[in-house]
Amino acid sequence: MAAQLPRRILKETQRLLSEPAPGISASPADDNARHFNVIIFGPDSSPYEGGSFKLELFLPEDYPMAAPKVRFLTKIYHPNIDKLGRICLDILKDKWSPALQIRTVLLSIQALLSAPNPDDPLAENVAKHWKDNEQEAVATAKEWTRMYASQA
Amino acid sequence: MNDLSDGDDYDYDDYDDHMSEDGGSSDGDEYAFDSQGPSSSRQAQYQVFSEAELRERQQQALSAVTSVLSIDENDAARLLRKYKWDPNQANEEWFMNADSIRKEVGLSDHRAPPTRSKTAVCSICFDSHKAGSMCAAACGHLYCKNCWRSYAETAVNEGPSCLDLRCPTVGCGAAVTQGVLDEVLDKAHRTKYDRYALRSMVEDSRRLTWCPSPDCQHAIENLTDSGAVAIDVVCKCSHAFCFSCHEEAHRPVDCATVKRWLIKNSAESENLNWILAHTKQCPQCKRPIEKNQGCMHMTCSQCRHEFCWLCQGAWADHGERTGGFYACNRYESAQRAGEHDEEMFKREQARNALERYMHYYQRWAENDASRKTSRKAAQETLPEQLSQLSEWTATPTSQLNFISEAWDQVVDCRRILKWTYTYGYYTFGAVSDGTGDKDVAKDVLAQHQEFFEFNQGQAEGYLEKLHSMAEKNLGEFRETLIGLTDVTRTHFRKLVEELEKGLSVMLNDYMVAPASMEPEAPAPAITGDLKGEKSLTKPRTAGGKRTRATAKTEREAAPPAQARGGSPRAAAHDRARGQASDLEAQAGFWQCSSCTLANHDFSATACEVCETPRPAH
Ligand SMILES: [Zn+2]
Ligand SMILES: [Zn+2]
Ligand SMILES: [Zn+2]
Ligand SMILES: [Zn+2]
Ligand SMILES: [Zn+2]
Ligand SMILES: [Zn+2]
Ligand SMILES: [Zn+2]
Repeated sequence: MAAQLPRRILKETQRLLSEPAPGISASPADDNARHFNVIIFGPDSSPYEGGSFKLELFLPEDYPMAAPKVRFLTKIYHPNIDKLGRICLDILKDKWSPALQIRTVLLSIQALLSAPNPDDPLAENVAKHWKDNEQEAVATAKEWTRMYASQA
Repeated sequence: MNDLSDGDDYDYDDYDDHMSEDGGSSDGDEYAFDSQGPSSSRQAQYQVFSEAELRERQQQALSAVTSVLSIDENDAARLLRKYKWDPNQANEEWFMNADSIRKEVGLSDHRAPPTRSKTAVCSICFDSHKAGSMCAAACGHLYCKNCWRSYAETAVNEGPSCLDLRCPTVGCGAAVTQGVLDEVLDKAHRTKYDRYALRSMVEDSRRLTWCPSPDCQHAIENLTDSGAVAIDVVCKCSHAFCFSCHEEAHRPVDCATVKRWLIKNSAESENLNWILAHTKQCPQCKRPIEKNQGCMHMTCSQCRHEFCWLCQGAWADHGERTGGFYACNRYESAQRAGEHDEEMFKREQARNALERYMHYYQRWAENDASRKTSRKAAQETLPEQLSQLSEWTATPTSQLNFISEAWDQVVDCRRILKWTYTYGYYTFGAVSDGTGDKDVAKDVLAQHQEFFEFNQGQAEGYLEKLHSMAEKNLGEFRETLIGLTDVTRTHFRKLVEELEKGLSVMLNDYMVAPASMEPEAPAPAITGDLKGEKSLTKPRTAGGKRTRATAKTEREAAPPAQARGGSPRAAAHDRARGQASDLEAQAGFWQCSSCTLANHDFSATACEVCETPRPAH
């Protein structure tokens, strides 16, 4: 039998399921209570509107002292998300605090979709595109959303 | 205007202001620059701190803040980190802007209202606890002790950023207080935390630096207000390094030149290795030779030919015996005159550039190698030899200190000498191959070079004597060795000081000093048989701009200088003679140039043992 799950994780999971945040769904995997399957819906009036993006979220052994590990599984054209789906977000790194939760992390990622920040890029070429020609970059992002993130 | 300026911006005169005898500070080892110190550290005032002494110092800084401001030590440490561990600045800034500083370092002064309820939910573990068993930073955000412990330990394990630990509440930013840390950190983590705090003190403050020697735990405080100039310091572990750039100690050369030189050496290393590997053979019998002692005086094991490792010249041509001064430090360009087509000329130039670099590099590298061998000998074999000697001669080892001192001096001087070759390489390039400092007129530069090489050669000559004597005659020539150690130290100290002052200043000093000011150096003292004297008539300064120094000499019409055409080397020689006499007087003996005996009879005209005539002076 797996090591007992800390009460905090149980409580967070319960709450995520019973009161989901708008536009976000997160549920633990059947075989691993620390592994969450996440879907974030593209925020309205963002280039990602209409898309549903799959992510995986993992709670490491020392959670909540260490931040959860989160990654996009769906391809996305965004200056702060790289080809492997890794996300450049301060609260996932040095600004993590154990007082933050899975819910706050996912809400922050959703906000990042509404407000891409090309000045702190993870995907250099996407960020450059964003700065040089925002209109065109936004069009590409919309195109990718249509191609990869539409529920067929 | 001074057309002799050599571009040396450093104002070394400032040093004198900081050389006061009392260092002010009480703990740590203060190096007080008495005349016994190594010649290269004399002008730097600094203190070496052990870890315990650093802690004491840290405590003093903390107290200096907590005694003025009503904050605890943990908060004081945060404040001091912000102000590079300068308590005065921390206190002053606090008085000016307490509110904004409080905010920045997280020292909130308003507390959250205390919880009325008996229990509270910890928003990290989501459990409810008795309010009394939870703690909070000054902000009042309660978390249970277990969560605080994990939070603080995780931070400590992550590294020095734990020193800036804040309340976990998102957007709060209050500094975690001493009280919380004391409550939750176990001994191991507390120790780690304290070590980071100590490290931060050394790393944040401008005046402190760690000794770069691996495994050494000492820190050095620079007490001179010298900005970014090279400062030689010697750690208690005996590692000598430059406070400013952390390279090995390198005065009189500045930090930028050292960096440039080391980069050049690594870029040229392939060429160099080949050349060095193929050029060492006995100049007489051409058999390969190996150098295993540090001194440059070589004797071929095959043909017994005695020669100089540096210039490959016969040893008989070296030293005062032949009336010359030490000259193998001098670079003479092998450039041939004649008609060349462009291509030939370029190739010739490249060859000359490499040859010139080789000359300096080889001397730099040889002295470096010699320094290492000597250091090893002084550290490893000398103690054994000294205790043997002490046994044989029934002399307490304390009375054999002069031998260790001689060795320390050799090690020290090898290092300085090594760097003077770097100095020479970068300073006189324009004389032979057009590289180097183009702002100084070529003839002036040539004059500088001649003068530099004279002084370098003098110092080097003494060092060679000292070195070979230290290697050969343990204890046999006590006074001679002591005297030579002194004389060598003085020569190197002067060399460093004068090069740092700038060659033009140095040269000017020599040129304008009237002969009457030198009681021990009457004008006719220069004998005609000095090696190198012939070159004095070489019109190296003719045809070019007249230097201020020469002009001044002529204006004052000082007969001794003018009689020899005002050559800097002649003037320097006069001067050097005077200095040598001064040194002899100080040492209480004059040294025979042939058998090196210390003669105590100053009225004697010849050595009392070998009867070699005493050099005129
Ligand atoms: Zn807790
Ligand atoms: Zn707080
Ligand atoms: Zn050290
Ligand atoms: Zn330096
Ligand atoms: Zn030989
Ligand atoms: Zn030589
Ligand atoms: Zn003699």
